[in-house]
Amino acid sequence: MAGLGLSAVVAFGTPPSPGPEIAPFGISERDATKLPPDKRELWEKERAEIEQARNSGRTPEGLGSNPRGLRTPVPPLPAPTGIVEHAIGWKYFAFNNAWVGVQGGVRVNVYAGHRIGEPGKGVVLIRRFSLQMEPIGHDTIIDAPPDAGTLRIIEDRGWRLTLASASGSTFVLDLNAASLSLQADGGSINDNMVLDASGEAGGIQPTRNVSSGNFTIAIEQTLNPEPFQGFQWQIAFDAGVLAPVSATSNDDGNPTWDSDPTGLTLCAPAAIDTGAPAGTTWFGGGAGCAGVSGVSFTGTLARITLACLVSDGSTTEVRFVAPAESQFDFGSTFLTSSGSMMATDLGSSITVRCGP
Amino acid sequence: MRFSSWRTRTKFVLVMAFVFFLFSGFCFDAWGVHWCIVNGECQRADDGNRGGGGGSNPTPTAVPTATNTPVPQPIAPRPTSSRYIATINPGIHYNVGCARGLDAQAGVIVLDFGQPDLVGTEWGSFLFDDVSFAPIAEIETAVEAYIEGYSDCRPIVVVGQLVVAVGTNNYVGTTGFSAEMYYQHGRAWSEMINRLGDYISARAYGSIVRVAGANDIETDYSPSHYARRWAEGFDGVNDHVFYNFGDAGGCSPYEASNGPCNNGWTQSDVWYVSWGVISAVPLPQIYLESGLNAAQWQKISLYSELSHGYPMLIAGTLTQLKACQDRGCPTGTANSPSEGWAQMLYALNSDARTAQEELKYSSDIGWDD
Repeated sequence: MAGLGLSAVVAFGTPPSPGPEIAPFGISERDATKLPPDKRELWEKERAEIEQARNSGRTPEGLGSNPRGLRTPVPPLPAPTGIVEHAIGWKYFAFNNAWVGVQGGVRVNVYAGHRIGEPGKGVVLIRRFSLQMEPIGHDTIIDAPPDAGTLRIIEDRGWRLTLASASGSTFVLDLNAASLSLQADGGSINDNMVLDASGEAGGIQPTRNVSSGNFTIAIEQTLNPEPFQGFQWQIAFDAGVLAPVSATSNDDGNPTWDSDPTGLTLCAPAAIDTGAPAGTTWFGGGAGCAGVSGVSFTGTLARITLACLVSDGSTTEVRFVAPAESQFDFGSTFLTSSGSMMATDLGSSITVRCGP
Repeated sequence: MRFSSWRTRTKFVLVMAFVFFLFSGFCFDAWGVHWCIVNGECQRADDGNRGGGGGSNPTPTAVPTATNTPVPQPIAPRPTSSRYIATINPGIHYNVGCARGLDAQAGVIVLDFGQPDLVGTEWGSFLFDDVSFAPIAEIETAVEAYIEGYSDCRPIVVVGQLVVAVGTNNYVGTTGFSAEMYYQHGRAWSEMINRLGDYISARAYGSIVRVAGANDIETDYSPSHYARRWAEGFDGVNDHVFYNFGDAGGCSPYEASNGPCNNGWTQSDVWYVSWGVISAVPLPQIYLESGLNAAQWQKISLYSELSHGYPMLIAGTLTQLKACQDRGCPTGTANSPSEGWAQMLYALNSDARTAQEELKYSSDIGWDD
């Protein structure tokens, strides 16, 4: 019995054998006779290495140390947002660029291009993930009308993307719509909000370098085809890079940079919102102003002072939070007289770098 | 045979019984699964008609042609779970490697990190879904975490070795990359694989894990000379092989006369990046349920035999059933692993000039566990 017991220990308690047969790169001993000399030489070398590893008597580090398969916790992964300009290859598609957005804990990737080998067949592909990059559901594939040609995302208006086709057409992809469809853009223009990285300088600045400390960004309105009766804003950024300091929304006559959108007198202060994904700060909430009659206005809607928390060159995107993302009907939008949300085009994110 | 005592005889009987168990089917439960000893190998016994491969390498018999003699049917190896990589987070890779270890997978597994990319002077890849650049150093860390997870969670008793094939592809599109840049990328990728080989040696993983390069080389992804240069770059500094887990898009399923394939490629081009380069080994995509893919690759092997005097030996097959389940895929491209594997083996053995005794690997690629 002692001998049998020892045999069992030898069989089950020692470093594992990878099996009785060694088949370097999947080629068996018998098939290896058909290898050309140079491949045979490589095959022999691999076999020798495998044999050496088997016979070394060393136990692989950690082997079997986690027999229950305890998983390493993975926090939500940072998600880039906005348009990503890069040619992207897939098995069946060639994409010119992509767009990424996060909404309600779901990350949405949109790719624009054409079916591979058929540049006339424009296509959009939409994929959804958890914040741990686990896929959610099947792909949504939307073909452009025949002969539209390859597509490219050219403008990010929150959850409405503008796409241009090689044939010169423009399409709008409304990601908030219950059913996704490509529609010819009839040129409709909405009131818009645009982030300006430099609240003090002229023009709309897409980036900002801050050595340290506080700085100010602005929310500008450049298009006003429809009068509005109020606005609210909410922005998002990396909580490890920036912190909110203060904010002022443009009401009637106060402060001095106010260019007086007539009648906007009821303003709400900005606050840090709950419900933001881990690692992200949502700032604004119900911040904004409202009045009693329709306003026609272009100019600065709000100025927001932020502080760099680091000075190591870290960067963060600052972007609008869309109403559909916010769990309390916040988000960035213009409001009608009844307080309901108007169709609003939200501009692209800006980039802030904190460091020398 | 005479025994000196009843003790000796009892000992002999028990030892013989143990040997019998080893070689004829002794089963036990461990790690929450049912294991069996079959032909001296410890294997999982939950895989139905796949022979309980447990990652071991069964030895299917070649299929002879035109015979009335009943022959043993080949048994497909238990498929491994390859994956498109959407993130380089080491925690996720540890967990996925751990899941493969718990599942006692062995054979070849492809981790597909996406297309070649360059930021500044740093080579890497453009990941699937993450729409972001992954530098080679971070890919390396992710693969190390995967291997660590595999080792930590792998049952000690299991036999079989896992080949972790770290993959990219040859997509060029409108990236503006040159063929020479593909050469440099192939070289950098090969050096990464070498370092991963050193990592495996240093931690004594060598008896359970090997590493290899991999490239999803597809005819529609680039002109052929791009892929050729990548393969040459890899081959210039390699300590390990790379698997071409791509396609033979547009190549003939009927002729082996160096005919044309898609995008200006020829059968010779596909052969070169799959076998002509010394470090290249084919692990072709056999996606089409019609069997067309298998026929295309068999003709590449026949071309090799006719033009170079040696058949191109195929290591195994890659299918995408899991990816189809995860994300959807075009109709007719969802071969199961065993179907793809059988199509390839039968296609090869339809002609004595390309016949293989065995087709060792079967892997199925997906997006998620």
